[in-house]
Amino acid sequence: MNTDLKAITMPKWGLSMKEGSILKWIKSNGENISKGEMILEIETEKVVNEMESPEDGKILKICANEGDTVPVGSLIAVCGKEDTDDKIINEFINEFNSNFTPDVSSDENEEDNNEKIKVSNLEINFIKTVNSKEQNILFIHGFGGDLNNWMFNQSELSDKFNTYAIDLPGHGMSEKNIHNSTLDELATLTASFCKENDINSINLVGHSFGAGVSIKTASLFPDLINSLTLISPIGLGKEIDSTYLNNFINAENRRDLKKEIEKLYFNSEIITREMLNEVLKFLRIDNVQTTLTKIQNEIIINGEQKNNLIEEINSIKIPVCVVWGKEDQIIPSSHHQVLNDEINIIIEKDCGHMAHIEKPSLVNDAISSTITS
Amino acid sequence: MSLKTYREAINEALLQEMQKDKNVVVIGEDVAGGAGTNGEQDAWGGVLGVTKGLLKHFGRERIIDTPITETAIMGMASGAALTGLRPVAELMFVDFMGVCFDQILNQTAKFRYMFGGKAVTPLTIRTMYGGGLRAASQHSQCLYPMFTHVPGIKVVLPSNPYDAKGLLIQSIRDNDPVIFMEHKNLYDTSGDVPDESYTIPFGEANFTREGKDITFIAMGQTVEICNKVADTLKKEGKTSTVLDLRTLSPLDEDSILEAAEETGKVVIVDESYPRCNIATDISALICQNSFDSLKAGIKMVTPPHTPVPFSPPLEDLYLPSEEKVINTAREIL
Repeated sequence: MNTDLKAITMPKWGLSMKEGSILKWIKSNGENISKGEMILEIETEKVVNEMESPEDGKILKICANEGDTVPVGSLIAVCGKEDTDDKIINEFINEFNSNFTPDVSSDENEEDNNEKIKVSNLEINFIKTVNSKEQNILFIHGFGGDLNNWMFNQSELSDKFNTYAIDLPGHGMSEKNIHNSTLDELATLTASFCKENDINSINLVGHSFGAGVSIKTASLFPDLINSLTLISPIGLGKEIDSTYLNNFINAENRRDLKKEIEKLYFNSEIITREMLNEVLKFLRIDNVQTTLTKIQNEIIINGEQKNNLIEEINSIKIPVCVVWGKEDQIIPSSHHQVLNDEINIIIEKDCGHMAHIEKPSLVNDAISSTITS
Repeated sequence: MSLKTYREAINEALLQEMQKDKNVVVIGEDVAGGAGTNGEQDAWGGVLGVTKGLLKHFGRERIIDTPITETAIMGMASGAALTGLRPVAELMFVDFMGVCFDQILNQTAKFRYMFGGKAVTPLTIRTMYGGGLRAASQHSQCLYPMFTHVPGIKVVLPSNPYDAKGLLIQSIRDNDPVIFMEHKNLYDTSGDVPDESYTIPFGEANFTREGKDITFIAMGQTVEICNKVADTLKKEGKTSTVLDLRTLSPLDEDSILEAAEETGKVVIVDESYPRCNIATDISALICQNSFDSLKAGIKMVTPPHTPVPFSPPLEDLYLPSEEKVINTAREIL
């Protein structure tokens, strides 16, 4: 196979994704592309999103056209460093296709991937990919999120690591009836979760409130945690958009909710009605609003952040990486200034509060290098 | 969250609301079956088994088998609602409303208004509607336009299991009379339904597909027909918006206009008789408010103005179908 040519394939966004449709090619044949640049728009059962280029180079041939629906892993384009003879490109395509077999596991029902486990007396929902890799990752989402927030990260990193993603209490498909949920309690829950799964060493990836949980866990259970990758963490300053949390909890319809969800992203065009509907479905479950209000009270007091984790994060002895969207409207990225020199800080421009969704390859690279550093 | 049928979703909504609120009672013909006999108890659970299993949880005090008299069922349920219970009364086939329409139209629907807001009537009437079961013209009608016509009654048409559970819980918790209409053909369809209780507010239509070329407006069973048509058209390179109205009263006018204006080409698919139905009503709404956005005349797919035929080939010809919807769409695409 010609090694100068690279295959661009249908990505796997979320563990249940089997196929995707090409909505629009942003780049066309012959155009130069660079790694991380958006090259096309893809629609899956769950989401419409732009795909980042996995390579630097030039698109030599587009193999799946707009409107096509193809299985995960299929060749959708060939890219290379320089113009290449059509014959060689076609040989490359034929060779790729003859070696490619789509995943046709009979696992039609995506819920089969979800598992439930009783931890700290609460039923916790999670998804795992365990293939006897050396390192384990646990993803912890933020306030109001769920494990699906990691759809661009978990399956991507499952090639190199064992991965776990949980729904925090009160979220996703985990128990909704909770008394309170302080960072200390959630850190204990995180440690118990690892113990229940026979994990002795784990790398935590936390977003926002989940990043706060991660810091607390590393501080209380230092022997368990191997590294931390934190995205827009709480606890490093007083400022936070407190109206966001309140309006999110109390949003009654798509229109109200959209105004809030827009604050999460630099590019709010990413937000679809489907996304908003999923959030509304969650908010409309009995007790969810009460539970979220309890959690909100653990994050905010008198309009400011309640938790101060600066000392804890700066005294952690393991590798720590902090990724922050420069245009984060929920928690300002300037909070990174309190971090010590040991910590790897990445401030990404054109990115909001959801770097793991807006800049997945950046975040995935950051996670990988933090774990292996 | 797990896969449940439309029937199971409705049963679960009743079970959970009855567990939560002791004032919720179920009233109807054979809602359990076997009352007052030595025969099998809970033999039926309603004519299509929707309420089966509730008897063992709540007993005869709360799962009430009635004589075959819709007039008495609606009178009993309205009075019970007025005096503090939250009855879920079953009007087996909506076609039978003829014998209890005074209770619904002149009594239940008017209490709040006539008593100056001092009376509330938290009554839910569950009923089956629609064709396709070869049940002939007295057991196959839709009739939802007639209820929608009457102020004071809310009209709900869930199109899938998730909506069925959330909208039924909302109906039971609502303080006004609600007609909750279940299409006979939908009971065995399945979808993801959360195990927890949840609600869906009335007056919020749902976009089940989003596109640029054409808009389908649908309700109840016709939603799935339109979804399939949208998926077929997509393979031909045309994208569609499909709007599921979910509730006919209250009606989500904003979403209807938004959906119409997005593409400028509208097909409304309504299984009820074509004179004075939901399609004609919505069509007028769009013409009055969004005329300048239209790129083609509004199209309607409805049955002809005749009783529902008993003959299977004729009934198939009578009902809106994917084929009719797609052919109609092609006229304006």
